[in-house]
Amino acid sequence: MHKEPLIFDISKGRLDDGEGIRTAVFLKGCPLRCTWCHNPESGSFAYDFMWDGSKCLLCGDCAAVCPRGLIGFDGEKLYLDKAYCDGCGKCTMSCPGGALRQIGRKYPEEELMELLLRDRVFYEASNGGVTFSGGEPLCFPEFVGKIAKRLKEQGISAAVETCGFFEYEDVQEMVLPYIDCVLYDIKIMDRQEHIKHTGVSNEKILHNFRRLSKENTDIRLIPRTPLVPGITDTEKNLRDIRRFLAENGKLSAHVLLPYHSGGIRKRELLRTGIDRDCPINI
Amino acid sequence: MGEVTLKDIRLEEYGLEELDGIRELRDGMLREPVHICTERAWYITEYMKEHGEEEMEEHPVLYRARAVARYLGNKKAVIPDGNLLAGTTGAYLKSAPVYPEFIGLTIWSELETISGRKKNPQLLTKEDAERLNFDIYPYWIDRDVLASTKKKHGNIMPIRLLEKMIFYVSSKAGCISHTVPDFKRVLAQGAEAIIREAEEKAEGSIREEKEFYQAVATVLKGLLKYAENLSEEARRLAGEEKDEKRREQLLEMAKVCRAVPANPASGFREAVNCIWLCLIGIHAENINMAISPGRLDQVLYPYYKKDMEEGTLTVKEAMELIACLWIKTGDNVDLVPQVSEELFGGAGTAPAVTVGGVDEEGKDAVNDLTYLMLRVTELLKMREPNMNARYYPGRNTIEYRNRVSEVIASTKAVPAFYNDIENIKTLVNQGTLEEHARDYAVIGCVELASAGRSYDASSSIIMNLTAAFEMALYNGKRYITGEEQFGPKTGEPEKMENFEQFLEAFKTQTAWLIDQAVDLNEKMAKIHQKMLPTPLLSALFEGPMEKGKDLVFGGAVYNSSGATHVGFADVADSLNAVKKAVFEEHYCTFGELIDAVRHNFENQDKLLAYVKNKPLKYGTAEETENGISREIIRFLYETYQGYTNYRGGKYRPAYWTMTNHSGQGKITYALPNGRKANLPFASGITPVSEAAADLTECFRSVGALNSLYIPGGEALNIKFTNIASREEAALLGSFIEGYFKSGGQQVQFNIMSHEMLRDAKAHPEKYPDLLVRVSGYSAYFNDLNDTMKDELITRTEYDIHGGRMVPDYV
Repeated sequence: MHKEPLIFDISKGRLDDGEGIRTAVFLKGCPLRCTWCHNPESGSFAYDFMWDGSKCLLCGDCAAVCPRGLIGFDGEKLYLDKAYCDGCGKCTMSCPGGALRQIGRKYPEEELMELLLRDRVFYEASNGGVTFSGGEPLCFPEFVGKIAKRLKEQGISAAVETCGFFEYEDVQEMVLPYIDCVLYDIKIMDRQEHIKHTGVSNEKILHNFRRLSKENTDIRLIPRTPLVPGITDTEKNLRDIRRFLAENGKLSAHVLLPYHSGGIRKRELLRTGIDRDCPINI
Repeated sequence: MGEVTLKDIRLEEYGLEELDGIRELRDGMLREPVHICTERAWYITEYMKEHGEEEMEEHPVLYRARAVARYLGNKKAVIPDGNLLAGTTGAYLKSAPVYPEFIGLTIWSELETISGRKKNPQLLTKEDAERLNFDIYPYWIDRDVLASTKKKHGNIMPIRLLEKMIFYVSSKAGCISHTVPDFKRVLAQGAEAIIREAEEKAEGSIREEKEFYQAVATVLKGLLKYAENLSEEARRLAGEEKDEKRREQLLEMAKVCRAVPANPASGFREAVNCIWLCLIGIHAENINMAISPGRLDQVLYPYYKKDMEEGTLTVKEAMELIACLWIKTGDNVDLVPQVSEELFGGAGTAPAVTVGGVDEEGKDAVNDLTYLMLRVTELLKMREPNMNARYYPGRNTIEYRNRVSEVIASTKAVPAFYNDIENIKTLVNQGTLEEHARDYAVIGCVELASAGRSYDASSSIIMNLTAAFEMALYNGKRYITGEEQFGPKTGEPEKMENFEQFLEAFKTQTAWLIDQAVDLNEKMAKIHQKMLPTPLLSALFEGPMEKGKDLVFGGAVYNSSGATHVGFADVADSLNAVKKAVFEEHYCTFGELIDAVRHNFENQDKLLAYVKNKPLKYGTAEETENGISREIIRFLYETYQGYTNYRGGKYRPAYWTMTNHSGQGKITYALPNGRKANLPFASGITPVSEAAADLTECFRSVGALNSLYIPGGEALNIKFTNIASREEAALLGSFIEGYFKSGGQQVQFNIMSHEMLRDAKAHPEKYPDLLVRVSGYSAYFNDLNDTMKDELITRTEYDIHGGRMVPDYV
């Protein structure tokens, strides 16, 4: 169980992460490695960096300020060695063009609460609230539960977006009492295929889903399937998913999500200039 | 109290095809070329020449009444198309009337070219050109408002600043207008009753008062003569008409024009006709700029209700009449010389109609007619009238809110949304009685007025805030005017020790510029009082008939003057940039920053990237908390409120820009926020393009400015890629609810993507009538100049699902 997450985005005014207008908090780190992931920067639990070469002025300011000397800039090549980074953020702050972005930041609890409460008027106007997303937010049950509890005390509804790969008992105890809605990904029914495309078996995921639908009927459970061409959108897979959902009384809530290819560019940005063997060439 | 009895508030069964002849009228009006009309100028000038200036000097109000009545009595009765309403603003189906008292002379050098110019030509016949050249313009050359002001005061600094065109626009040289008349009295009593009242009051009073009442009677008689002429023309046409249906319409028209505005309106048809005829009358007297019909769903409702109850009117007939009025409000445009065309082209006259909101008692005022008007607006998708929907969260229904959102989604642009809670509060804070504040309507673009009671001259000053900022940067000079000293010497910024010193310099320059603009406005107002009293408009207003005083002398119940601001967001961001770069982070010296600005950031990519990315940006939560935007708003409010105008009212700051943010931007050099030379400024109260990445933060930042300090009104432009369904429209409604609860006053939308607008610019033929919101009013995209088109294209575009701006990859 991870304790303190890195948060890699707080996105306001969203309509597709539960009911109404919502703020989504993206927690970094995921036990799955879906080949199609559109948030590849969310996979690792550690700091990542994204470098947008089109914005980089090659001024070298980032290299000059890094206290650990992790950024190499020799006038020809520019790269960052993130393995030893402690996330101080000085490099991104110094970058005038906004080319270098640090992915993941620790938020003191009070600062996070303040950010999440900012859009209260919009939540109230739309039955909206806060959605924990990721990565896999339920890798951090203690943290999510703590924040969701405080939100609930403020009268703000919280939801969770999950891949289903979590420790049920922990989540049951720490998170479920404080949330109203779980948006639950059911991606692939075939176990081997699931391992092939996500890196893990779906056994735990399906098991957790069954328990959630039976034991926590007061929580709105919305199963969702991303339609990835040739992988999840096959006739057989969708039929199997529907059967599984029908068995658990959740077929009518099923939502299909269109696939978008935003992950490809992000993967490029995550690598270029950051892997030593993939520097920015000047 | 509003009543909604409609089964379907969307009125889906009434499409354009179901309304008789409306599609033809609409298309006809859209395709009709603009004709410059000299008829009014001819009659007014003729009267002036005959009667000389002595009469004007001694009896200004009466003199004006006689001149306008002369025109109205002789005005050609034109019933040009199948519209159910008789009469036209000018002598053509679509006219650009010449008002030589104001800026009518600006086309003098273009008489031979204006008909043939490429962009938005205005057709001028040879005969009309000769009339202007030989009979009309020579008379006015030293007599129009500006010339008269110069004659009296010489070429003083405020006039020099005006004529530079890069500091402020003092609208009094070109108009007053900008007002919402009161139609309730003339509808209920008829003009003859007002004439009788005026004549009786004239009997019992002396001097100016007596003259004012005589003037009211005189000018209204002129209007009745015009209605009579229309009636006769309709009868004549009916005699010639072969189509039976049209003959009947013409005979009905003849009857109606005999009945109103002379007598009380007996029903909906007469009421709509009465309002149209009064609007023609007002335009005979006052220039066609933002004469706003006001709360027509409220004013017309008793007549609609009565007819519906008596079974003498159907929903379809009511919608046809509304459509006819909507189309008619676009029967005139402003006369636009080439230079204005380049800077400000594409503007309509912004006749604002306001629907919804609460009534004088504070109760939900939405009624069936509100929905009829929304449906007609949705079907016509036209520039005129400028449609505005009031919304009182908690008092108006969610169904109404969402219905307005649907109309926005379907027209892609209108109506604009107004927050009753904030707007009523700000008017009450200006001394308006609560019940009068609740009865507010929008003037022109976005300005607020207690309808028919408050004379606000809301476009008195259009101030370029970046002019003051630049003068702070260059010690009282402007970049493009070189060594010429305008403002006070507030010191060399290079020698300033802290940000507060620079902020003080900016405030000093701003206060100085405001003082110049106010001084000029007051001086021109005195000229207006001599030359341009408004007895006809005064008769259609609350106050003048009671006080015996024309509007320009302070006759209205409430008075104010409006001053709007161009470049607010760019100035806020520039001040934030100076603070961060020079004084907080010491990223560069003030000298280096000014040097980069002077060279338009050439070879300064790094500094440019820094000022664009690092300083606080208006439109974000951090800026609201720690930035300068709220302080500027407060400073301007306090400065303006320190002035009392010639009618006894206060000056009210506002933030709408029409196309001025594009026009003024085109002639303003680079700024420290990274805006490069000659590019448009952000519009109205809207954050700089791409500065506010999060939609809800943008809304909250604008809401946090405090509407009490924005009594003149504001225009916030928000662009969405798409709103495709009713569900999404309802969610748009939720965003608006949240924005209004954050304190926002107004918001208007464009539902269109970067790509679509680029396509429209490249292939205008594919988008013949594309309606867009500019800043406070609508325009047809194809009428706009390229600078303005580019401004629209590069505006921040939000994806309604993600709540964030969509990057513009071109």
